[in-house]
Amino acid sequence: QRNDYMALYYSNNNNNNNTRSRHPAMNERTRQSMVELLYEIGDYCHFRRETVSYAVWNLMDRYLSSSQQSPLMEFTTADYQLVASTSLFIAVKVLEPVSMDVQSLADLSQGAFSADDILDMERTILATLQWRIAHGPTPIQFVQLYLSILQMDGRVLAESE
Amino acid sequence: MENYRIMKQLGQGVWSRTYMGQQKDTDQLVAMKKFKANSCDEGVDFKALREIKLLSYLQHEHIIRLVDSFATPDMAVVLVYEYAHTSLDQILRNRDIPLSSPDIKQHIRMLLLAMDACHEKQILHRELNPENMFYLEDGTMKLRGFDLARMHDGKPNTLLSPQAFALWYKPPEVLMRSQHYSFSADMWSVGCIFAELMLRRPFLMGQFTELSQLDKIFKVFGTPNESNWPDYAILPLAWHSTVPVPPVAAVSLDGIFTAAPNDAISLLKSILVLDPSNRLTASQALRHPYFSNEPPPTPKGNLILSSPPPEAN
Repeated sequence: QRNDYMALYYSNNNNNNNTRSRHPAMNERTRQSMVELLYEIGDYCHFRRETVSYAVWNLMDRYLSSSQQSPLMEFTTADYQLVASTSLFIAVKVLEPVSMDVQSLADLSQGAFSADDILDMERTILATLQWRIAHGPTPIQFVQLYLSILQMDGRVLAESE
Repeated sequence: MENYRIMKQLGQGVWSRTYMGQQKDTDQLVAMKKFKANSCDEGVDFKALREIKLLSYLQHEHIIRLVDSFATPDMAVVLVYEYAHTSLDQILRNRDIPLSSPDIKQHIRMLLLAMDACHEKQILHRELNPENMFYLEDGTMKLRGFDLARMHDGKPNTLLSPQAFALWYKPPEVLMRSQHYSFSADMWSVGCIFAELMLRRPFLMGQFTELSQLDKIFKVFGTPNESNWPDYAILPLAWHSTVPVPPVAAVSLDGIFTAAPNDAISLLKSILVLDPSNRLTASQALRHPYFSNEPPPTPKGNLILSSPPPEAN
């Protein structure tokens, strides 16, 4: 099932390759597919959704928006997927009681990158973020906070009706 | 690594080695913990990542500050901390260092402040002992040893490993194999350290095994029963145990801590309680009259941290 998704994903993006942006692969649509891919892997492995949002907001987006990305460097969809997968790999180490097998994660890319590529990218991401991996707030945390306030005080709920 | 000069090895753990080092540009002393490079292909050590995340989240006057972190070419992760030159363990073992009542009050106060900061941010330390309490030259205590620490959302269904805590500081519920312990578990260790400051030796010294440690605890606090620990019977070790434990009554702490002031014993009695739900929290303990009563805690700058230099002849 996941393989079908990946095939669809690649065919969609191959049509996009003639876009003449600085980084053709770095666009909103690709990001959307990456986020969906990570949530799909996360749900399949029974990780908490919080772990995936940590990977997306705290690692992947921060890394990609860092200034060290040279505009001259070629950045393909496969590179994007490598960054996304590695972000999840790191997030699982930080937040989940289990770890992800790096080889399985590489296999999911159907040959786009290897386990060694993930381990290299892990160090690149951490070095680029200067090892600052503290938890910034993620959207899920805001939702949880609002829900806990509502649960604590039934009146808030009643007033909002 | 090229920014630091390694001066000497300070210690060795199961997963890491600690060195004293110096930042080359500033000559500033640092402590460096090098996680052993993984032989298997799992990349950066997850324990290092978790510790970095916890420490950057937990910035506090009494918690060790992480100065830097990096990976070496051979895939080992190095965490660089501010340098602390002694620990409570070294202070307690050095008989040339006097430890007055106001000194004890300051030491335990700084530990409670660190604990309150951790628990407020939902972090369980799980390895409190005098070896993890470090001191800067100005007397500021810095809590270290967050290897086993973890985020705890306080939900009762979160499972926690009983493989944490050093034996003499291990709370009874963890010794009874509870997997649902919480912040009160750290408080038991705080109580043991408080007792150790007053006795100047570890308070509950079990002999190597967890059963011996439980035995020590029960001999002082009495065996658990319906009244002193209502939830005791559902703990795994109590549930599975077929050997009946002959009931023992609690002894009075006043008889053990004969030199300690009454308010100190009163605080100790409210922290070292068998039933975890009846132990004071760190913030409650800080509001105990012991801290507002005379004498005030010794200003941290006046704490004696090392033996006085030998007198010149």
